[in-house]
Amino acid sequence: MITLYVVFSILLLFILGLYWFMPVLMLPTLPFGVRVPPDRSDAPVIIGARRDYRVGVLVSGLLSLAIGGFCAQTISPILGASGELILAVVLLQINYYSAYRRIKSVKARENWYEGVHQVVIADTEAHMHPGKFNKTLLILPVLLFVIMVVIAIVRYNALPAQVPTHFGLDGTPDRWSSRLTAVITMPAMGAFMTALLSWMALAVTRARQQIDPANPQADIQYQRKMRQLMSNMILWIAASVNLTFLLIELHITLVLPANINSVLPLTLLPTLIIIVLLAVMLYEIKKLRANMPSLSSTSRPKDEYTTMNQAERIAARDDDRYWLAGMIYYNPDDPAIWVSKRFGIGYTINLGNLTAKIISVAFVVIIIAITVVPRLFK
Amino acid sequence: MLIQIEVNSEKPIYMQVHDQVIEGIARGELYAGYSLPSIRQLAADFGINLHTVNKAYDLLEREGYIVLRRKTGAVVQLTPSLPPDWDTRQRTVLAEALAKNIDPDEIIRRSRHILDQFIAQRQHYQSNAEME
Repeated sequence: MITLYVVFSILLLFILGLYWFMPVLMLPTLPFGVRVPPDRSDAPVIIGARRDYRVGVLVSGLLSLAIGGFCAQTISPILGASGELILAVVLLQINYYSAYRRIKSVKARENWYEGVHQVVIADTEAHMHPGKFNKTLLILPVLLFVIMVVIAIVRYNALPAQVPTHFGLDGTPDRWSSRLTAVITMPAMGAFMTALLSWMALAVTRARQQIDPANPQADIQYQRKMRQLMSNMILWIAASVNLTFLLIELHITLVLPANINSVLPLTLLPTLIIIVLLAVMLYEIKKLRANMPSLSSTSRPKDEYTTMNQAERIAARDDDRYWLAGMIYYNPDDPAIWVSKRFGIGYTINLGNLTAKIISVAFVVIIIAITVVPRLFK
Repeated sequence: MLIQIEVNSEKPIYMQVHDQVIEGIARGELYAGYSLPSIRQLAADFGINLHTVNKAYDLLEREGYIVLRRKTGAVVQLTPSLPPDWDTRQRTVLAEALAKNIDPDEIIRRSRHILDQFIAQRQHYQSNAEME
């Protein structure tokens, strides 16, 4: 039981690390999801918010580890383990939100966009060179899926009529299914996840680009490479998801023995793969940004910008009003479904768009269907 | 070609898009047969309403700069004639200068300067296209 607590604590440290490094990924003109003009990108309030955010991450981490550890020893390891994760995520989110509020209030009070020409730039050539969907990378998840199907077919006759399909935390089976359900479940989930992630990888290559007026041509190149990187990364994630399903299937079909020792590698392997993927991605992004001076936080076009006269002060449009809490994009006027996130990297969905709403609702329904419905027919 | 719109400008956004496409054609960056982004695509890239881009494209089509087809989208295709109200608009612009007592030769010189700029850019784009 204590293994679970250790695994969850490692996961907690990983999440803390992510939040700690998030400010590194923020664009200079989008600190904590607030759009600011270039000449304000190192305003005292932003530097202060950055510093206090780091302190907040540390405090949130230590507090939840202490409370979680106390609960794990006095009440139960399961409560301590899940409790500390939930507490940490809530605290970290509050911490982020307070940094966002702080910058936003100063921005409003000092009227940072006064006299700034707010522009949006689009490239008429963009649709002629859409990002490439890496078909070679798709082979990996598809191959793993095919292996799952082959194992299901080969092992079907060797299985007893009833097969354990769900295991308690100590490795003892606590749910049994017919062998047909047992062999179908994992390949079916694999097929669903492969289809979903491939579609996302394709959608990302066509995500819209809004171009930074400070350096349009370099930004177009940067965003193109960024979309390619993201698309590839999603296909790698599809491969690791299928690998996890394959491992579970090997246990269900009794190729590998299901016991206490199998729980830990099953939980650790996907976590490990995701950590490696994230590390590779961060390294690649850092490399991309190094070639893009206006995006790295070290050199900024600030000096150049402040010496401009009022008529020339051009900056990306202040679109804060479409971002609820700086995190959720809601713009019914915008036909784009996928938009770049404001905080860090990646893409998010436009909740003001009808198609995007349908996709989100369908996604939630499918998740509920997968997790809740089997329990009803137990 | 990059189209830049200013959201808080007094000039309506559809007019900004309209004018920049025409200038793009004048300096040779856009040419007959050039395929512009679809209405949905351009609206999504700007993050603005579909109707705004639709209005700009619609006006460009009526004035004979582009054709809109269901299959190919918006393609630059030029009719030789000037838009019907061109004389009226030129009249207003010239009147503005004359009303301020600007010398007619100075007005011609300024007009010539703008035309020369477009023509120089056009040669630049043409030689680029030949090199590719």
